[in-house]
Amino acid sequence: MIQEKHKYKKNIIKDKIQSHKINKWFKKKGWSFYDYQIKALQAINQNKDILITSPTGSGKTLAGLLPTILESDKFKKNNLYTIFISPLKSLSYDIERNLLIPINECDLNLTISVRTGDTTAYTKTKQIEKPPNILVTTPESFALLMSYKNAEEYFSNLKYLIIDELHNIIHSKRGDLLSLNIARLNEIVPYHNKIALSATLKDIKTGLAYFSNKKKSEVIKSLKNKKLSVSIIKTAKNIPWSGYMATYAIKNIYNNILKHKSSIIFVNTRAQEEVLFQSLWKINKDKLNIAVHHGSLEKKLRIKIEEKMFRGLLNCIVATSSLELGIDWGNISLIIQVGAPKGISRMIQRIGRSNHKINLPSKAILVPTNKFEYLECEAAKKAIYENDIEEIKIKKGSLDVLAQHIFGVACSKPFNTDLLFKNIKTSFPYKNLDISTFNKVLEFVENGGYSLKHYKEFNKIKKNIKGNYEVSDKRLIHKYRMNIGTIVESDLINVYLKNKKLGKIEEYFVQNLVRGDTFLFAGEVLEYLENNVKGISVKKSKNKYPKIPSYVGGRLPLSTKLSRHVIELINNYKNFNMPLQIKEWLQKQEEYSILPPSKGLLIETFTRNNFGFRKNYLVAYTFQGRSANQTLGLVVLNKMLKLNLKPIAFTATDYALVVWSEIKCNDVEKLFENKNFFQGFNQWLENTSLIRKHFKDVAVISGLIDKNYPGYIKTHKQIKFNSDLIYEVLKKYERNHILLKSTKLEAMDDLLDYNKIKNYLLAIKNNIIHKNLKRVSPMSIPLLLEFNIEKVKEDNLIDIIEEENNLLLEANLH
Amino acid sequence: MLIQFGNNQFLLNPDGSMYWLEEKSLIVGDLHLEKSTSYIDQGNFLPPYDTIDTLERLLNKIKELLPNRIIFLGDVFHDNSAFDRLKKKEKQLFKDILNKNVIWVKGNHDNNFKYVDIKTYTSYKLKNFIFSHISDKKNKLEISAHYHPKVTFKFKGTKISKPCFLIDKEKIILPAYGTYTGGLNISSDIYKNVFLNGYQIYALGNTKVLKIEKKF
Repeated sequence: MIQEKHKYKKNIIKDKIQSHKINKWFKKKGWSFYDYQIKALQAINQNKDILITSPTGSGKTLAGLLPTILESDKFKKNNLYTIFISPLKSLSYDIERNLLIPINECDLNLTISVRTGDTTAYTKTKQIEKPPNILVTTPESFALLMSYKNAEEYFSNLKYLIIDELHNIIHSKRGDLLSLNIARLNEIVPYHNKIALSATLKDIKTGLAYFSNKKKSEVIKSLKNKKLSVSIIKTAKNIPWSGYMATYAIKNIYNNILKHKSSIIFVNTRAQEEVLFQSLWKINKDKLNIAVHHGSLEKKLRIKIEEKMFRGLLNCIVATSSLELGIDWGNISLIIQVGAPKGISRMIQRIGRSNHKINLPSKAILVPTNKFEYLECEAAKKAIYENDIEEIKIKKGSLDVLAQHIFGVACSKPFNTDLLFKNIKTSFPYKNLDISTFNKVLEFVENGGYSLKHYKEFNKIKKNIKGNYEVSDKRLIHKYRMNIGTIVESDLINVYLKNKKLGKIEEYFVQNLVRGDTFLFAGEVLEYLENNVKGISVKKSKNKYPKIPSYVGGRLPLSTKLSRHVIELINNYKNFNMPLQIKEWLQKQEEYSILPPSKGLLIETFTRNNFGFRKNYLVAYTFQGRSANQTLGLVVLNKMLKLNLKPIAFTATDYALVVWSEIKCNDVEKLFENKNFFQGFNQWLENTSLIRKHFKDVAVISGLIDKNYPGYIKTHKQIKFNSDLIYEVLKKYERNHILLKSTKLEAMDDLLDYNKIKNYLLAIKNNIIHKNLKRVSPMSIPLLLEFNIEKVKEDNLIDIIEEENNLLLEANLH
Repeated sequence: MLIQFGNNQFLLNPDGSMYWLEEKSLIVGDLHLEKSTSYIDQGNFLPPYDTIDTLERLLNKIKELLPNRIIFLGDVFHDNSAFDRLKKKEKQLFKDILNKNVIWVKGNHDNNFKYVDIKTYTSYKLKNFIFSHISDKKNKLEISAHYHPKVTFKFKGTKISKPCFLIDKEKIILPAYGTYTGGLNISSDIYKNVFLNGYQIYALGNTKVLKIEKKF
């Protein structure tokens, strides 16, 4: 619990609290209630829905649960009164743990239980038969509960729905799923109160509308602005040119951990986590207790670590975002962020975890992993101090989630299409859903939605005598329930050493691996063998050093504001307080090429010989953030194709775009002409690997293909279904299929909107500086090792190969 | 791509079929027709166009080369009841193909299927060549399929995976021809049991067949 002793105003609710057991317990601890927690109680008393925002984790969860606690005396056993929805499994257990303390110590009349994908079958059954008073669960498990036949009965006594970490879930597919189920819940239990807990939101109005349909609702802000102290790690070591590893500063990191009782090191990817953890242990002469935490750890181990952390038994924990949310991890006094923070709101939440019990400023140290990241860290520092949080992009409700939901509804009980449509429209992401799209999705759920109605006789859901849709085969219900967790897991895949599962790794890391490529994972250098239905299989490599640098696939792109700040830094570097090595790097860039200008666009071109292959590079320092750069990259790739420059692929980071091609581009201005920039883009998009990635997700989430076939034994003669093959066939024979529409919408969401890019192009018009260089420039070096590649359609690559007759093509085998 | 095998000439086609010049025979393997509709029971309704797509490609090749004979190397259908699921147009196209001189070697997926009076074989010998579905060590000069071989290679930093022919002095394995067929990467140990002393790899390009070198 995060509470302190302080003063608050007198009010009515105070009496209610004062007489309650919890108040005595608070007093015993030396705590008192925050103003905003009292305000929250008042609003609930007036029957309002509330949104509580707080810049850090302080007391939000308790604020959400207070109404429940105060009413608990009236609660009857085996009745569900409160459901607490939290995005992460580990968070759910944390909440239970924290609640169990006052429940036991105050002897409160409350039962609490957690339900996630990890919950045992036995516990799950018990939860259904004998509901706890408070159920802590994830959006997916909530959707699952709503799909049971007795859902109405189960939720009939519900008084409170609490949504935790709203900022994390809003405008995502998980948010869509949650929102749809809340709409259904509103139907079953019209009179319950909703409480949403969130980090500071820029757009509060949308935040509120997202979960609440009540006219009476209120936003309550926690004004507890914690003082923050953010610095960039001081080290005499050379910051690397490229890559994403913090190992160069490992001694400095270790020394900082040593100085603090307990700290958390946040990294962005599993691969970074592995390397860092290993490196720390190598120099752990003081025998500190250092643990590692991530979402795909074996459940027992994960809970053990969380337990230890909570009780202050660990000195340091290395974690990915699996740990960043939550109410209480004991007394953390230092946060170390490895790699430039990609999201300011998130970063502030992370930092807020340190020193939250005492009146010391929350301390954080940023560790840049390459020279460019140093600049990003400086920009992030500024943004953190100015509380400059990013806008969250509003997105329409995904159609693949809708398909999954419609079937889930049918699993629970037969539905009337008109009524279902009306209900769906009450959910915020789907408020503008039109009837024809709904009908197409419905048809898809029925029988795949093909124009010639091929599977009509096999409809998964059928109209019964009353004219309502019901599931035609009970076995399908079982399968649906097994697959419902796919939304979260879709971008992590399993890594197997022989038959032993080592863990999970980000999918985009694997996509470009061929046999023979080596990388660091699970504490050793592994060699990639192959990709199969289960995941990827690897073997132990004989090499000491991995060939492929493990990398960051930043989900959160840098905001435009932050990008601007970085350019300012670059242009003013001489006047800025930066390490000498950074200044020298920028000076070299100035000498060899020029510094990216604050107005206009710098484009560098050079040729490189890589393993006997010539590659012509084009680097555009746009500083528009990864989303925009990705869009620009796709368009530029298409233009180069049309100009017969034979482009191969590109990578986009937050600050630049790198394209390589067979033929050198001499007229770079043409590529960034704003006139007709997006002409033919829609068609072009269809052929990109970006859209195929989205289709894969859409295919699984909508139920077209499954990740888990119940009882299906996989042999080495893989009978897997390649979603790319399905995509090609759909494009050829059913261009208007609803899943293709859904995929395109998802892809467009990923890319920045046209207007922003058009405005950018206008701004740089006549202001493009082209530097044709003989060698790689200092500023481009970090870009060249980027691994997240967007390539042209395979057919285009094959065309190039077929033209060059004497190209030596090689495959790695043993 | 023209190759020599057992002193005969074979044309490797980028669609995955192979043409035997001396005998004017078109050879294809693993069509897996109606694979799309084989998942209905499980509630997966895949786009049901793999059959028409596969048959049209095959017919195009037949029109182009005008073979005297067509040799199927098994797994023509994805399962034994697939034929009944064919749509009218597809049935017609299929019958058109069967009206030519067809040698049908049975596969493991369609080993119980019989079509009217078309004779099916477990393996077929023509001249000195043996045509089978799954490769058998004891056969010299054998042409088979079944494994759906595919090769992965890198081109200027990008990864490409393509179905491929695997060829040595005594054995040829054809890639899978069907639209929805996936592949088993040649890095798998399975192939070691077939090719004891290495093999040549020919990947399917757009208009050509590409030779891929092995790197050990």
